[in-house]
Amino acid sequence: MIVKFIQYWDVLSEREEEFRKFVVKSYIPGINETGFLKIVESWHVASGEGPFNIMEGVADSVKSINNLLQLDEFKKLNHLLHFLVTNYKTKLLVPTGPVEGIVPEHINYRFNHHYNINYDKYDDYIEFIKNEHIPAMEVLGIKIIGGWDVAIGPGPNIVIEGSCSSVKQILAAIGSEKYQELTSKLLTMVSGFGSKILVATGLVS
Amino acid sequence: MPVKLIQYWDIRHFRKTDFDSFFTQQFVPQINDTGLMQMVGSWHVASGEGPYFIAEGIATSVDKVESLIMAPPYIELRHELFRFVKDYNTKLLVQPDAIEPNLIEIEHGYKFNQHFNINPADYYEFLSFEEKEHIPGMEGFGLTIVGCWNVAVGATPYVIDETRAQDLATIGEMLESAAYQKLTLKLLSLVSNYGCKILIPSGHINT
Repeated sequence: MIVKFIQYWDVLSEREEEFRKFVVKSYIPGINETGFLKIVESWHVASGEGPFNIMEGVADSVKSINNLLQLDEFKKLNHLLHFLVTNYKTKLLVPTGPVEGIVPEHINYRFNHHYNINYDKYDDYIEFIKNEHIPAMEVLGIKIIGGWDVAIGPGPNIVIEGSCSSVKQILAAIGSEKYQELTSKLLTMVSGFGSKILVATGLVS
Repeated sequence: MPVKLIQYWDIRHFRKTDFDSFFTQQFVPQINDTGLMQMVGSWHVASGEGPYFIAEGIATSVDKVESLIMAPPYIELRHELFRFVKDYNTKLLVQPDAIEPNLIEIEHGYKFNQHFNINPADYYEFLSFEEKEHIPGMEGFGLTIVGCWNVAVGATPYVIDETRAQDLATIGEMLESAAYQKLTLKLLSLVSNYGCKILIPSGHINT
């Protein structure tokens, strides 16, 4: 079972170049070398709310994340990172049915939904996601690659990750009647709904 | 100088059909009949934070909006609206300078709106960037600048750069381009609390 450790921040004004060098040469390799977390991608929020930068790491268990957070090396790296960024926050995501999290190997763009489930509609929601939402999104060209519960960090509580080969394909999907019909139905079962389109920054090779 | 009254909400979904009838047959025509404000568009937030439904009205001045919100028929309409919606919010948008907004009687196409607060120390640099780089850059991606608004009343961030695209593919192409990412990174060095939204027509006023 993989879990995700997501970090968010905005880069401080006029520290962009220093930030870029630090993240590429020290921060990402330093975290990867611990063996507890692998940084798989770094994103810009192309559409949606900030912070503008998102760093995505995967681990094989919550225990690995716990080990990482206690390491002096990680504490040092994060201390240095904080000289270059603002609005830092983190989320620990654990899988929630019915989607097993996967990490696409090819270059991709993300279209993520986040919301809280109305718990009086929980069974209807699970049924809807499994039998209608996931298959329909795939027909629209967006593969659902993870359904996550925010175990630690700010809400909303559920993050559904979609992956796609282009932003144009994402926008073709969201402009379609089928997507609007799906979203209207989803909104009857959830609250605090929002979405983000993410574009890779190129910092992770 | 024209101003915008933006109203946004989530529909109580067990009342969706009732909402559709009320909104198209009463809310929009009765506001238009007052002559104080014209409802020009209604949108779904296709990407970005909710509430999910946005209704957009244009008035010729702040005085007209003030007259509207004090008018008993409007107060009654809004009261009726609350039966069908939740998380209701409003914003009054005004133009910060002499730039004439690109407004039309009924909206068409799609919207890509960026919102943020200007860093106080970077105010004059921002104005220069906006005029010389940001607006021409967005136009270069095929978008029409509708207006650069300040939120006079309502929740911050207090600046909204509003653009219109004929199709979603134009917005998609822009978001993927390195030039757009470079432009946005420069904007981010001058502002805080940045976010953006893609809006698609809800089909109630504009299609």
